[in-house]
Amino acid sequence: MRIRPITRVVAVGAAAALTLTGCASGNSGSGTSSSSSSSSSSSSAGGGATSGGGGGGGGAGKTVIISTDLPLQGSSASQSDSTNKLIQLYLEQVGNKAGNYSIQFKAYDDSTAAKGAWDDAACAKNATDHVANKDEVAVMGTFNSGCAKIEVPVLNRDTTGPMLMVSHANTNPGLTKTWDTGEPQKYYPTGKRNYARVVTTDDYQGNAAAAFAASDLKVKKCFVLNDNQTYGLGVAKSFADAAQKQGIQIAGQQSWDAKQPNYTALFQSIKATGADCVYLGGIYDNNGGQLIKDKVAVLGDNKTVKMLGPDGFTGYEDLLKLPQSEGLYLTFAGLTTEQLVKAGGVPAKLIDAYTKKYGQAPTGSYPLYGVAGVQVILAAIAKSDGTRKGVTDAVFSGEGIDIPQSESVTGKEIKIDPKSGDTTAKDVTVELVTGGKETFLKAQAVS
Amino acid sequence: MTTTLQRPPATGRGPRRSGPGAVARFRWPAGYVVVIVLLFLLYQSILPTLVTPVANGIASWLPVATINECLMWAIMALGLNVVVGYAGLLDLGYVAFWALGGYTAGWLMAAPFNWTWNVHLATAVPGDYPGTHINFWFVIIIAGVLCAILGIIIGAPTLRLRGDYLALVTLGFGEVITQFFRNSNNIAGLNVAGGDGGISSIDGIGTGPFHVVDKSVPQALSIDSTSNTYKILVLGLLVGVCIFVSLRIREGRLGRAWLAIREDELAASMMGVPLVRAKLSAYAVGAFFGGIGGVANASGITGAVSPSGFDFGKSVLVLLMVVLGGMGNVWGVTIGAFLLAWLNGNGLKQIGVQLDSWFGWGAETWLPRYNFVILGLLLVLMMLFRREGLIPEKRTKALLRTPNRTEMESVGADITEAEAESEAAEANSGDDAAIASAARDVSPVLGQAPSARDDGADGPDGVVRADGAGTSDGTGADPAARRRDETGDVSR
Amino acid sequence: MTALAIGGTNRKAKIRLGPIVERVLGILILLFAVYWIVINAIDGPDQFVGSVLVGLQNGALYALVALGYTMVYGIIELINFAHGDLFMLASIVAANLMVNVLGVGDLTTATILPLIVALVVCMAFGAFVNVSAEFLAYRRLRTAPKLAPLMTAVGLSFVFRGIAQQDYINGSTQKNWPVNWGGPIIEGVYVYKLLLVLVVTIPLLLAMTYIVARTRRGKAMRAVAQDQDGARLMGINVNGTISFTFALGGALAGAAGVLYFLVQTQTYYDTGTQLGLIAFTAAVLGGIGNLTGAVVGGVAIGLVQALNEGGAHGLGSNWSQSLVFIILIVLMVFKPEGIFGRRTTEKV
Repeated sequence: MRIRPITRVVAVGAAAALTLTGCASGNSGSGTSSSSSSSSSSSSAGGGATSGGGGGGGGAGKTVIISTDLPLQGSSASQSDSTNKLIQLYLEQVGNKAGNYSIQFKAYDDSTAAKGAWDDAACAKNATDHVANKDEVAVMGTFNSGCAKIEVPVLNRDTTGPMLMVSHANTNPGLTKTWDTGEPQKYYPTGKRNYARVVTTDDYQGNAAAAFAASDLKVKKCFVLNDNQTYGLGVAKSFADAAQKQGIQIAGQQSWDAKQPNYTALFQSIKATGADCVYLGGIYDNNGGQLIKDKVAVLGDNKTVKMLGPDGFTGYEDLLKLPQSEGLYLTFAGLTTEQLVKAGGVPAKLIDAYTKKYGQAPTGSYPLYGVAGVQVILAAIAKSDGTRKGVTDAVFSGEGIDIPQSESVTGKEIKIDPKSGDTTAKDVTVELVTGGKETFLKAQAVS
Repeated sequence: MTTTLQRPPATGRGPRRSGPGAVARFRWPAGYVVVIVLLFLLYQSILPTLVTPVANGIASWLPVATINECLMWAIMALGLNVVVGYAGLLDLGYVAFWALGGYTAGWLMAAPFNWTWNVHLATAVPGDYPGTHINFWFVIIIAGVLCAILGIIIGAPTLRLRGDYLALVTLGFGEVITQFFRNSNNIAGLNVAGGDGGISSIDGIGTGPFHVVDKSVPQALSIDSTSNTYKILVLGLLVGVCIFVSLRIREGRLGRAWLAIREDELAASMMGVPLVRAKLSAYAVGAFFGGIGGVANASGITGAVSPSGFDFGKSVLVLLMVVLGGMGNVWGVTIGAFLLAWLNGNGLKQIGVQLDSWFGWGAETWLPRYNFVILGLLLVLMMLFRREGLIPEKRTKALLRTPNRTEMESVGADITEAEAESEAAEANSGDDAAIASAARDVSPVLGQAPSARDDGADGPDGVVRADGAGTSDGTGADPAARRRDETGDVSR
Repeated sequence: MTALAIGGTNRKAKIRLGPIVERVLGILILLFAVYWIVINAIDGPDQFVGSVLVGLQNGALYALVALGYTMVYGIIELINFAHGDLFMLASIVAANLMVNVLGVGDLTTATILPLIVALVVCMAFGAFVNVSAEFLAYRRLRTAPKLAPLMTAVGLSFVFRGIAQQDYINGSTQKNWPVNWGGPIIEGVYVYKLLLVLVVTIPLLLAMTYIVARTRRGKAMRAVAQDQDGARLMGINVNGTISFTFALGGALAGAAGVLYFLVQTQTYYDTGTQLGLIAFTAAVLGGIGNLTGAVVGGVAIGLVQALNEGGAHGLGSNWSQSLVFIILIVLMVFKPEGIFGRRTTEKV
């Protein structure tokens, strides 16, 4: 007996519906943590936060949720995981409260396993979920500027908002200031700002690297490479522009293709230009290891031809293990965890508590900035009426948010400019890779 | 006799048939509309009224966003089905058309990325908003046409060659288009498509008159949960059109030419099927669908395009949808698309969550990581054990299940004996026998053809293997039916 | 009917013009390629020398992978998509074996023994995986339409990639191994690296040519390639012969994996797809099924790529992949049978 197609379609639909109801009843116990995009850490976090909120919930007012939106799979996974854990730890320390509000925490994942990196469909879906989740008032994230460019307009259009997003790692200037055509207006369709960040943008990092190269390394001719991605192009461009102003000749600019097996030929063409410095604008993940190896093979070690990189090369164990990375100069937009801990105070205490709890320090330098982002959000919630609009307005009206040095986890005053959402703290650290470690070299003044 | 539209072309001369055929013509559209409207109502009205556990269950197992993704992938799968399922041309770079479609949306309906003019054409975006903003439906057509042209350009040089070369060229093409868009911030000094960052802030789908009639419909379907619910209707309509076109085109002259090529290229060309033209049309139609899918994705699902989204994995995913559902069967492919899009987007994770709640394996994090392995194994297992897919197209089934004639010949079996056997086997399923007898009725000479044909028409084994479609004829009724069909076709 | 008839006459007219246009265009493209190479050599002689060395080194690697492709294709006309990924898996096995088990760090003459061990193990590994795949999957599909084994190969390639992508295997980014080269460097190319690649590739090519051309097994392979049924009737063990071919192909992938790891000191899950595409283009360039052709094609593509990246007049590394693809398309149009291949006509 042949079944007709329509019967089939209907049958499949019915089967699906049945399965759904069956599963739904099985799923009923898991409560709020059943959101599709929340990861395992979120369910545990949700549980922890709930109990924490319950403990201090006697006199507290409304409960609001803040979330993170990070790539929890692939190469950035360990850094993101540390960020989430550190934020939860910080929230516990402050009693899961901000002003009169109890705070719950929820983690979203904007990466897919298949890609091993952030994925635009996942970002779009998360943005929808942020808006749809009624109690959520603000998002800490994203890690990647490309993802933020998808999410910010969606949060901006939220009719109960706009909803606040504070990023700890987006360094692409276009999100907050005039950069490419149409930026940043195109991310704010309602005309109101809703995006702030606690890190300095690529342009400052490029400037600082150029100033360092000119004054400290005294190089004459630089070849600027980029990984052909938004971030890499941004830093490479700002480095090249600033370097020319500093009197460094730009021998050439080229992209490297992350999928190439090796770059010997590329460096041969650089050698022909006679450059005495190479700037690697990009992320280490994009085959940076091979790039460094081939640079040393063709151009010689990093003493003869200097090599500089942006913060896309910081925080990688793999890179530090390479003997060829000896003598590589790296800039970091902000202060490194190492520095902050050395300076003592709030950040040192938080890191200590983290190390005690998890047996190791958080990976990379971004987790602390994640907490800084949360500090901004908490301050905004405390100042607000607990609605999304109120929280966003707290950041983008009047004086804006100002977290004094005594409380800030970045060891410096965090002041968010209510006009642009950028931080006023413009720290760029220069590090030197030596002996298999990133060592602090100097804090570069930013012009 | 069957009354569905799914019958092979031999009986598919719909318009000339009376009664049941005409009714059947409205049966699937009606059913389809009911399914889509039910889905819409489920999320729009029923879900909020359900008790929390059930509503939560549906929301976590089948969120609206995933339904939309499924519908978008269904468009893609239907497109690839035309190329792989109908014409038998293996395309491993289908993602290229998806990408071009997406970028067309980026060029024609987004905030500026390198230009400053404002062009507005029948769009929901406010007039003072900068950039090019053209109505979604126009963009869909433009993208489709662009992709079709691209498909012809890519297909043309390879179509003279064996099928597996085509697979390789398309694979390379899929890789290169990503590279092109990645380098697109500087093509001869011009920013063509925003480079790696791609194009963000792409307009939603304008609702136009519906917004005027009912204010609760958003003016433009951007990315939020209300709009996502309405998108079910829009994307559902697109899928419906694709299904309709797929079904109709398959019955037409072109569709039968494709099937003929798929089954035996050499024989098809002998019968007067213009090979290159038919193959190129398959490519163009498939690419057209791909373009639609690309626009739907860029405008409806992500609101942005960037080259990193268009990787080889996506091409294989679409291919797997076609294979899983049943190559050539429109309904099978649609369901395959739903199943895999769900599995890939939300399903694996949710299965992991469920496993966790039962066994506490922590599967939510690790299960999705085996995405590639699971998809790959699925493809291999399907090929080994159920080549015809979950819901096989009858013709494919006959083709794939029938032992290779030359193989039998080589092991020493008598040809006529084998014919008789397989014909007897086919006769067990009523439809096939009916088709066979119908074929014989119309053309008694050709009806007897199988045995006569085998003596002369096909060459030795090596020759059959050497040609592109690479399959020997299915024995029994189908080829005869097809043959009758083609002769009828030529004389029209 | 009439429309078709007109189409027929049109096509006839084209056939007269077609080959002439084709030939002229083909010669023009060839001339342009020669001109491009010469101008590169004149404008940047140092870079040219460097690029040629890099090209040789990469080209020999491509050739090794291409040999495996060509081997299997020559016998059963299957593009073994999984071949590239098998090679990638082999490179991961080689890396773990040499660094973690055998403790190789700086490469010296003492490394030769571990290298031989790794070569043997990886070749065995490649052969084993390939033969298993043949036994479990391809063998059952021998009578199926061509699409079926092709898709099976794609599926297997996906599985291999998925396995390599797991964090406990290799992870989803490039993994750099602490293996260091020494010795003289010419224009950034380690001389020993180049020597090693050539020392392994050339004997393997010769061995393969010998096996196929001179041995009884090779004769059986050629017979099976010609006509499986005929071969069977002649008393040749067709299954055994095909398995043997797969074993050879797998062993070549294994050897290529070891070399790739040593040259790049890096492993990456996506290497297989990247190099697989390049290698297949190389195989087509040389004439698919032709062993010498695969090597020549591999080296030619390596050279063109290196010149494009390092030469004075190149497009740069971010267009490399596109360049390979354009070569492939041009070949498809003008010389689908490749440099050493013979044009075959389909008999009916």
